Formats: sequence, structure tokens, C-alpha cells
Amino acid sequence: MLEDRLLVWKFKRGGKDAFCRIYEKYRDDLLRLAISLLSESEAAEDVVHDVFASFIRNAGQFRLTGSLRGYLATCVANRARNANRAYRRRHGSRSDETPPTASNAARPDRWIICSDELKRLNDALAKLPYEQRETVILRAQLGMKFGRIAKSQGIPIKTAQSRYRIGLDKLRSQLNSEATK
Amino acid sequence: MRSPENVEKLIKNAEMHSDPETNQAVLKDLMDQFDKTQEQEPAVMQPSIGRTIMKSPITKLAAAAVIIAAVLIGVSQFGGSATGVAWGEVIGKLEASRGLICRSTMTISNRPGEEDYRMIYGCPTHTRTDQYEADRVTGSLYCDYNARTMVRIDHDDKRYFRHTISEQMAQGHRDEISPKVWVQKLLSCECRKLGQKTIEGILCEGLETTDPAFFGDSGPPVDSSMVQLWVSVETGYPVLFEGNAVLEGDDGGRIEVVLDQFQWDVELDASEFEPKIPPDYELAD
Repeated sequence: MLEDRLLVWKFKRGGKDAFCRIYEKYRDDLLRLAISLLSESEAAEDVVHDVFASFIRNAGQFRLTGSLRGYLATCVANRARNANRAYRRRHGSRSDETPPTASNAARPDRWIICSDELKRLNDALAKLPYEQRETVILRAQLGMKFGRIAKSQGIPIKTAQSRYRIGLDKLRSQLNSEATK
Repeated sequence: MRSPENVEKLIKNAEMHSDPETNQAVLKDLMDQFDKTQEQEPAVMQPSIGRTIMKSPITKLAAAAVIIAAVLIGVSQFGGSATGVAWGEVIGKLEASRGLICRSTMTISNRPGEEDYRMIYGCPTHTRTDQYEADRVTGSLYCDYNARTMVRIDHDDKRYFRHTISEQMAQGHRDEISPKVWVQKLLSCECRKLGQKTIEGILCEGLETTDPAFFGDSGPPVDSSMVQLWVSVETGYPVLFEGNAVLEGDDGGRIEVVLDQFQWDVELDASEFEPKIPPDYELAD
């Protein structure tokens, strides 16, 4: 996207307007990605805030080589993965256990407002092992290529494809069984 | 029962909104951080402070306090001599640059401008020029030098023009908008060194010419002219190109041209050079 290249160029030279535009343009996509990965609103909001804050701090070193959306989404995925690991360490839980899903009404200063449909989807996603969930979301929500997902997770492409297939099957079963209840 | 395709669609389209007030509050917090990094240029590493806008003001103050004093950096010397630009190497660098983006602003005295500026995108085989007015693209010109085609889109009139051009025209157009050719011309003229100055935070070294040969036979006849080129000491790439000329004759106006916002050696996807013509636009003869 040429617009993104211009925005990044201006942002790196101290353009506040350019940063505002980047924030407005990608904020909701990143929040949606983070809440799907982490299920828990406050953690997801912190991840997105920290990604933007880090983007600002490292502006001097940043060089756009692919899409800006892809870069920011990868940053969110990396931080969400770390947040998930930290949660598991703190709570001694297994890799397929995730923080409980927060409702919209949980906090007065909520940033993310999920539709009922997204809440149901996130509940089902939260039951997948984290690696499968991440693969399914990066592929289906962001349209990320398997090669890039594999690279970001440090796994072969075939493993990423199989994680996606299995994860999607499990998710479908979850959603179908919910629907028949 | 949901199919796999249906689940994929659900993942892609399930709705989420963000709270407008919190959006603004978070943006304000980020802007504060942005201002601090600008004050402390170059950007310094700062510990992750979390979404401080959601947390106490004391945390915010404490976080602000940990910003470290700016680090002084020396001038990198690769691509040049110990103190400046290796002018002989500049053209080589430009030739090796895969893609280029820059802004071009031209003003002519006594003539109201139809545009504010142009953004030029170029790679060895294509160029694209977007014409801006009040931050809106009013026209675009796409050139494919291999296919020798030129497509001009006029957004105000919702029309587009498609031309096949000769090799000579293609070369002429490429030269006309190529900063590389401008730099070549400048370096072939009699120049004087301007020394160093910092432009938008970049230490540059400049050259200036008032040699009428810069415009040569192909340009407009001029009474006088001045052209300056500023090149980054660190990278050897041009940062700013400024020129002005007083046209010959009694009513000769003054032309000022500025090329700036350069991005050199960028990878531009081929799709960026494919004309994007909205379906309701008409092909004009």
C-alpha cells in the first residue's frame, strides 16, 4: 500500500498526523485480533496499546519491507503469544487453557466492545490449544499466508497447514454443538 | 450446521467495535509518548509501560521519568569520505536503487496552481505520478516503459486516457520525472559546494549550480536559474532538491521546484503500477 509507505515516511520524521492516521486505520483490526487470540479484554487491550507504543519508540529503526498491517498484526501476535505464556506460567495451567473471557460489562473503561456473535466465537476459540487458535485466526481473520504463519511460529509450513485444518474442524464442532444445545 | 467455509467467514466478519472515548484517551496517551520521543531524539528504548491511560496518573509520571537523555550519535561514514559525501558515488547509488518515492512541488508565479504537489513512484520499468489537491488525489499518470503505455486518470471528470507511446517519448517522460536524471545533470554542471546542514534531522551536504546548462536545450529558455541538491552524509542518497528559474522574456515568470520526502531503494510491488480505474469512469479519446 503506497499510502502506508507515505504514512510511515512521515511518521518516522515526526509526523503526528501520520501516526494518528495509522492508529485510526489499524486500531480496530488489531484489537479484534488481540481479543480473538487472548479472549481476555484487558490483556488484549494492553497488547494493542503496547504495540503502538513500541512502534513509536522504535520509529527511528523501523523500515517497512512488507505491509504495515501485516507488520503490526505480527507484533500483536508475538506479544499475545508472550502474554499467553506468562499467564500459563503464573497460573500453572496447560497450554490449552486460556484466561476466562471477560464480558463487555466487566470494566467501566472498556475499549473493546464485542458483538454477541464475536463473544460466542471467542468462547469457542478459547477452547482450542493456543497454537491452533493462533494459526486459525491469523489465516482466517487476517488472510496471512501459511508461509508467514509458519515463520512467525518457527514451524514447517505443513505443520501450520495441519494446525489450521485441525483447529478449524474443532472450532466447527464446537460451534455446531453450541447451536444444537 | 456450519461448514468450514461458514466458520472461516464468521471468523473474518464477526463484529467488534471500539469505544470512541477510550480510542481518544489511548490516542492522547500515545501522542504524549510520541512527543517525548521527539524531544529525546533519537528515539530511546523505553520499558513497556502498559496501557497507562487506564492506570493511575502517578504511574504515568513515573513512566515519563524513566525516559533517558538523548544519545548523541556520530555521523556514519559509509559511502563517503570521513567528513562528507562521495559525490562520485551518488549516481551509482541512485542507479542501484530498486524503487523510489518522492514528492514534487512546483509553483509558477502569476499562475494559480492546479495542484498542491505530486507524489512520484518509480522503478526501472514503471512510474506512477499522483497529483494532489487539498490532500486529495485529483489525477494519476501510470507509465509502463516496457509496454510503452501511458494511462492518465482524471478523477474530477471521471475520465481516463490510454495512450501508446514511442520509445523516444517513453524515455523523455522517464527523464523528465526522474530525480536521477536531474542529479546527473547537476553533477555535470559547474557546481559550488554548500557545506553541510541538517534537513529534517538528516545531516546533508549540498551542491549548487547557476549554470544555464542545467536546463540545456530541452528546457524552457531562462534568464537565470539556481539549483541546489542536498545529499545525506550517512546514506549518500538525495534528501532535498530545490531549483528556481526566471523565464526569459518580459512576462517571464519565476518557477520554483522542490523535490523532497525521498524514499530510496524501496521495494514497490508491481500491482502499485497497475492503473486503478473505477468502474464508472469513461474512456476518453
